[in-house]
Amino acid sequence: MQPEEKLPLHILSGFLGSGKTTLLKGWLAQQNLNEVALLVNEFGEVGIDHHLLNEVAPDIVLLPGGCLCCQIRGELKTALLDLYERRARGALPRFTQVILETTGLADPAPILSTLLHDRQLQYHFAQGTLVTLVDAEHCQLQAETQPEWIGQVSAADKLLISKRDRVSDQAFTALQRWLRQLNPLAELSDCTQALAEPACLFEPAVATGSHEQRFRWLGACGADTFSLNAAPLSAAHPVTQTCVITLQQSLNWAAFAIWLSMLLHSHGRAVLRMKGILRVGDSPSPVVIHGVQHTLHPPVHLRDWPGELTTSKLVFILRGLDADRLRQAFIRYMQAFEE
Amino acid sequence: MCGICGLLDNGPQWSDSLRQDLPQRQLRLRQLALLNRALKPWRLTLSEFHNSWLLASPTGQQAIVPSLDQLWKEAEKMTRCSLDPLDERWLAAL
Repeated sequence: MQPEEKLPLHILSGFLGSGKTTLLKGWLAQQNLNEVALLVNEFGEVGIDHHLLNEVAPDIVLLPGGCLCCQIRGELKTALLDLYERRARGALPRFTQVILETTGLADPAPILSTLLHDRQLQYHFAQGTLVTLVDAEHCQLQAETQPEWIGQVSAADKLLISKRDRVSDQAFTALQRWLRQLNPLAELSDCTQALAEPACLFEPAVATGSHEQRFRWLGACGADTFSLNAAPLSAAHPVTQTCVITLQQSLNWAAFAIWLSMLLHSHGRAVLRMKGILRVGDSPSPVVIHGVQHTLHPPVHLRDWPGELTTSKLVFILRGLDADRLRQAFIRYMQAFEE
Repeated sequence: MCGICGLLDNGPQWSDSLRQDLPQRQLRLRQLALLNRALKPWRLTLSEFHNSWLLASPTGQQAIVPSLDQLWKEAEKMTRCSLDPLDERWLAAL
C-alpha cells in the first residue's frame, strides 16, 4: 500500500512576548480552518494562548505544560499521531498542514530532531517552514541575555519582525541589517507583510516548492554575489560567526558525508544552522543539504534546476566555533580525499 | 513498517550515496574504504557485517554500528578520546 503524502509540520517560534499568538490569530482568521491543525505548547501549567486562539480556531490541541524541546517531546509525538489517526478515521477534517506554536523558551533543534528521527512521525509528517518572530523592541536585550534567542533566530527559515511600530524607521533598517548578518540563510520580512500574503507564510518543504520559493529559501546560498568573511560578522553577536565555504570543483559526496557527520557529532551544538547547495560527483542536478545543530535533513536533488551549478556553497552559522578554523579544516580534509 | 522491520532495518541515512546508477553493494564498499581511511589515524578498522559495520580496535574490542553517528560514538568509547574533524594531527595523518 502506498503511504499518503506526508503532511507538512510548520513550526512557529519566537522568544516570550514576541507576538506568536497575535500573528497566528491574524493568520488563522484568513484560513480555511478545515485545512489547518494547530498544536500549542505553553510553558505554564495553565494555558492562556489557546484561549486567545480559540476565538478563531476552536479545535486547538493544547500540549501539556512544560517546554517542548526538553520536557514533553514524547507528548508531542503522541499528540501528532493522535491528530493523524483522528484525521484518518474522519473524526477531524482532512487538514493539509499542521502548525506547532512553541513556547517562547523552546530551542527548535530538539523538536526538529524528534520529527526527523522518529520512525512513526517521519512516515506521516514532513518538516515545513520554521518561522521565528523577532521582537523589534526587545530583541537586542534578548540577544545579549537569552541563549535561547540566538538558537531560535539561527534555526529559522523565515524571520518575521514584530512590533515594528514600536521602533523608528532608522532603528528598523538597522535591525534588518543586523538580522541579515546573524542569519543570512533566512528570508526576512515583518508581521504586517506576512499577514498581507497569508499563503506565503508557511510554505512546503524545499523539495516541492516553486523555483522562486527555492531561491528565497536558499537565501545566501543561492546568491552568486554573496560573500562573507568571519571578521565583520563576529561583531553581529558576541558568540556567533558565519562561515561560508565555496568550492569550484565537484564534491566527493561519500567523503563529504563522513566529514560532516563527524563535525555534527563533535560540534553539533556549535553549528546553529547550516545550508548548502552542492555540485556532487557527476550528478547533473545540484543537491541541497540543511540542518540545525545535530539534526541534518535528508539531501534533496533539485532536478529541475535551471542550468548547471558551477560553484558549491556551504554556509554555517556557528556559536563558539572559529569560522576560519572550520573552513581550513574542511579544505584540508577534502584535498586529502581527492588525492 | 512492521515492528520487526523497524528493528532490523536502519532505514536510509542522509549520508548514503546519492548515486543510483551503481549497485548498492559497490557504493557501500566505496564508503567503507573511505571510512577506513578516516579511522586509520586512530588505529581503528571497519568491515562489512550483515548490512551493518563492525568496528574493531587494535586491542580486540569490537562493536556493531548501524550508522555514522553510532560509529563515532563507539569509536570514541574505544579510543577514549573525542574524534574531532578539526583536529590538526588527524588532518595531517590522513
